[in-house]
Amino acid sequence: MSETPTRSYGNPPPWHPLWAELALFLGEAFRPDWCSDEDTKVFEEVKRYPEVATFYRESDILLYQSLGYWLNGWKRRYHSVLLQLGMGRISILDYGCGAGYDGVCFLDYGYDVTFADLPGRSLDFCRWRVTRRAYEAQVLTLDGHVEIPFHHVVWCMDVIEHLPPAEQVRMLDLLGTLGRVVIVNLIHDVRADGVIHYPVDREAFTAHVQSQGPAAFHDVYVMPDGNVTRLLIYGQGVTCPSSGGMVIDVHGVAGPLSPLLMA
Amino acid sequence: MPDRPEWGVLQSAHPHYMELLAYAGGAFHPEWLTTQLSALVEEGRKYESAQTFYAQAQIVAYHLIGAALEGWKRCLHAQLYMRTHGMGPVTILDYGCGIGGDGLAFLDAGYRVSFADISGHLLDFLRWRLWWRRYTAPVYEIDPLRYDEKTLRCPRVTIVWCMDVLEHFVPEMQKWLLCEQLPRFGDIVFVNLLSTHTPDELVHQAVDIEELTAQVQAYAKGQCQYYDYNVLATGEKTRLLIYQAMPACKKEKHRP
Repeated sequence: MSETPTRSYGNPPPWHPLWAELALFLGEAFRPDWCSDEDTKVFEEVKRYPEVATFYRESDILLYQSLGYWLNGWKRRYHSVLLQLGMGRISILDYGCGAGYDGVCFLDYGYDVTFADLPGRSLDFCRWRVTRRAYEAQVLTLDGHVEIPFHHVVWCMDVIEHLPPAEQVRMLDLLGTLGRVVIVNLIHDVRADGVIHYPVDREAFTAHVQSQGPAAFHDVYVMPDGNVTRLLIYGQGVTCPSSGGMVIDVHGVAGPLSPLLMA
Repeated sequence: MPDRPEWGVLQSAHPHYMELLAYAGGAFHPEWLTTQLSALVEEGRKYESAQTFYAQAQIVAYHLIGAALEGWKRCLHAQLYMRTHGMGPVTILDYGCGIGGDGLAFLDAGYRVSFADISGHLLDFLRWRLWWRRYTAPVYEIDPLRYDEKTLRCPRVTIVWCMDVLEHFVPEMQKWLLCEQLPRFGDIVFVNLLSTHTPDELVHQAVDIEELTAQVQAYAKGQCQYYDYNVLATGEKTRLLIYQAMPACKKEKHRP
């Protein structure tokens, strides 16, 4: 299905409570002029840092950009896929959670959520948000020493395109070891700058995970400018029974792949 | 926060239960940590009417959290997310919100949400939950004795969201809600029809899904779609109706 781009409407005014929350977190350091999901300010900001790793760890601008992006609603279509996968207490690992917008939303659906990301400002903000809501969800810092428990679902959104190509396929393999079902998006951005956005070969990666087992995929966003976002679902919980079709078994209760999933 | 109770069959505490524990304090009832309907109905028989029950019975909050954790409504939310993509800023009225589980999820998803229900402890708990999460969102009280629009002055919204409400109304009120009351408040109505195999006629009334669907289809002049979910072996199911509010209903009218 092809979609035309929507205009940006996540920016103030009027403010959403989530902007107010960010302002509270940052206090005097809050910058209203950064309340946007525009990439241009991010590109300007990244130039101020000697290396991109330092930028990710120390810069506040991603807190603004990720919130603006969240409020624009792009991720709700990804959520609609997850929400159809099963009933009951399902554990979700929000891997590369950033500020944790997905995971906090999932908590309200009755899922059990674990957050995980590299150390940095986004994870600090995520931990603050979770604590502020008195949620007792685990927030894991991926510092090379943390042990990640096995989950029903691994949710990894807007992560792969930030990795250099050599690391992207390794990440897909790693995710497959962390839970029964992996849901990941592959964003092919024609304007990949090679600094914070890298090209993503969605066809090669889809073929890679399919070589290891059944996988479902759907190009959720096909934009006129050539950008494509593919949702890829794979892992030991995805099977193809002899009766045909594809089954996703999140936690022992198998269900057919909903037609809506591929709508 | 008081000491944690034993979580029983739930095995561990979801943050929603921790939230209820923080709210209820010493009045927390661990024995109500169940999603069995029988406990709800048994408690309901202690009250003189369904309205009194919903306004006063503490057990309803436990039941609503349990139902949310079981995930019955996730597929309904999926439809909302699919339908509203690209619509621009979407405002939602969570009509008959109870403790606001749906609306809170929508707030977290970035929608602008308002809530409406009859006054009582459920709405009190919702206000506390909004405060607890530091959300500001309008909460409107519906007068159960005068269900007309004059008692509910809320701005018109994009979507009226009304879930698990119809089955609590007597059949003669159900059509009125679907075809007159809900369309007053927004442009598109999302409502579910929940069939109950054995309606207790206290907290759950009989819902004639096919008849009500036909009535809404006639009202919406074809601009109505429906989807069946959670179909059980007993024949019980949830039907999600999505339909356009017709222009006539944007005018003020009174309940017959």
